[in-house]
Amino acid sequence: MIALVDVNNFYVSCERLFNPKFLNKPVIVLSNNDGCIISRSNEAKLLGIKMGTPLFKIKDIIKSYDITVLSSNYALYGDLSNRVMALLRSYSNQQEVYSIDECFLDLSGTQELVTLGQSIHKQLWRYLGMPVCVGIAPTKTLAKLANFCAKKQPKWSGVFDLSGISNTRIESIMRDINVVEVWGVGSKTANKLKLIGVNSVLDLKKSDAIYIKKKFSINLEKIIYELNGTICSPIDVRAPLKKQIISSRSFGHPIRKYNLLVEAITTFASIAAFKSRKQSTLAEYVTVFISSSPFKEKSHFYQNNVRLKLPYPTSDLKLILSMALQGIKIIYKADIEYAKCGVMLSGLIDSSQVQEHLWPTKNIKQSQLTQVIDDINFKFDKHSLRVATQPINPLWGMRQSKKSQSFTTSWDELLLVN
Amino acid sequence: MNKNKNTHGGLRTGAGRKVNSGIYGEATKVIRVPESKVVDIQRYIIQPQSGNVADIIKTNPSLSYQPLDLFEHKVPAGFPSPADDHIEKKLDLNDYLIKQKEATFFVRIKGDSMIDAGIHDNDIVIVDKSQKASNGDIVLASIDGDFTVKLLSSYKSKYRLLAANEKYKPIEINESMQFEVWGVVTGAVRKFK
Repeated sequence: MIALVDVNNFYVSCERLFNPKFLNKPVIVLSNNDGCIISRSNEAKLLGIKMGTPLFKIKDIIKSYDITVLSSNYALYGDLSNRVMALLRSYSNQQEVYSIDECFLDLSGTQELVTLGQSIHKQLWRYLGMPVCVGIAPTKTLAKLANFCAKKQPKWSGVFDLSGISNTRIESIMRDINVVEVWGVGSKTANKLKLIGVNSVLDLKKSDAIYIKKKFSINLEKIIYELNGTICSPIDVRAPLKKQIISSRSFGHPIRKYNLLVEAITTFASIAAFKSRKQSTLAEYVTVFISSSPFKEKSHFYQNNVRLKLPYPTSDLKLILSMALQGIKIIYKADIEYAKCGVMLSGLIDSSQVQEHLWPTKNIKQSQLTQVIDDINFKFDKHSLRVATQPINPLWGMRQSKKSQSFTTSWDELLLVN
Repeated sequence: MNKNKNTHGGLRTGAGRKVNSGIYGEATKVIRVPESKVVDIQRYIIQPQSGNVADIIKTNPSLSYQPLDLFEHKVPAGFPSPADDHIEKKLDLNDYLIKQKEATFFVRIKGDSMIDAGIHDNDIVIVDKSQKASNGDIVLASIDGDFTVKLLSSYKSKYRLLAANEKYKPIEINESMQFEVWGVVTGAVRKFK
């Protein structure tokens, strides 16, 4: 049996842990730069606020219902996510962390599944104040569906075991759920499915897998098998290696000056190179991209990118940075208000599987230096050592006017209590 | 004579170890693995949760190709240190102060309301959210959305929060208040320098 455990309204729940004032009130959390809504409390959902809505579009609702609006605080969410996952790991020796707030657990060998689900539910609430839902079923796809049901039915107190009920009941439940709710079925696919008369989850479950494979994709075929209880995607305990690493952000304020873009590119190249080293990969290519605001007049819209090949696969900041800065020189145009830029590393390969050059051009001292910088930055502050063009508080930095403290990751920002 | 033909040599049904009767409950196979990883892999087989096999086999290149200067390391030929057998592990304050690390949080104290309990202004207290509070515990509680650290006093399901400083009056918890014990304070940390 497989369980999918996820935290309800995760970002809002994290904020509530350190701010009891936010309990039982509508609360929303915004994306980077305070742009769109990315997490909503149940009270906010009931007011009809939709996921992804830009903040400016609901200014009136926020005022009239006194909704608490918060910037995202990823230091806090990341730390609490690690705690949630560590607690959940104790319930199973096979855990697949699927996203910041959800994971699959292999529960094979467990008899009292609902009881186990309830103790997960209780423990996470008591230990971390996290409201979780647990969906239990024979496959991941069904576990996702069971989790969906658990959320919809408050009387089950967050736990639903699909394997513990009769086939007829499962089918009647599936009949009432739109096919778009199935894990892996996007809205486009769902619309196409509707054209051939597949509307509910049950319709999809009963579809001819071979026909679906021909008409749609092998993935949808697998989903049908999974809905019928055959495991096609087993629990994957390894964290998947990222095939590409992107570090980019919209600027808090649009920028024109070349040297500010250089600052931003330096920052993003540093982050990307660090991420690559952290997962022990080397990059073959560096891509640099810039764009002006898509919301401004169309005629002035400018967007460009350039991909450059590194002399050899590397995760060394100096090399990646010099390449990225060459890139920005190529695509920079004066007199444009830039709203976003970024760096992407691609062609990533496992650093242990690299073919050495016959005549190594690698500078061992350089990579040792990078290692030392990483160690120091780990031990002290994230930005203790950095390239001189990388500012700590950049002019173009993120707009996060309503961010809560980093309660769990910074000595200077602990909760203050009388 | 004929009897011997059937009872000597050859296969005898039911003899030998049963199929899949070994400790693994399945057929086993001889494989080649790096000598330095034998213990890790054995451990993995016994306790698969301790890591992924691929991670174990992947040797860390920075470890396996560490160049050593020939004369850099002296090999002492004298009497071995008598302390070697007694080295256990380094003391870690986290182990001493924290019982349930996933549910433990640090909170900074403002003011002198708990000074007689040894908690001073600017101290960091350790709060374990997993523990159930009982009468006499120092707790982090929230009253109507505000946090406070106080002594919990409970009598016949009536709760009071007591300061450890006579300047402050006890707080009586009544039903109109939004009251929750957030966690139990299990320790305090203070730096002098």
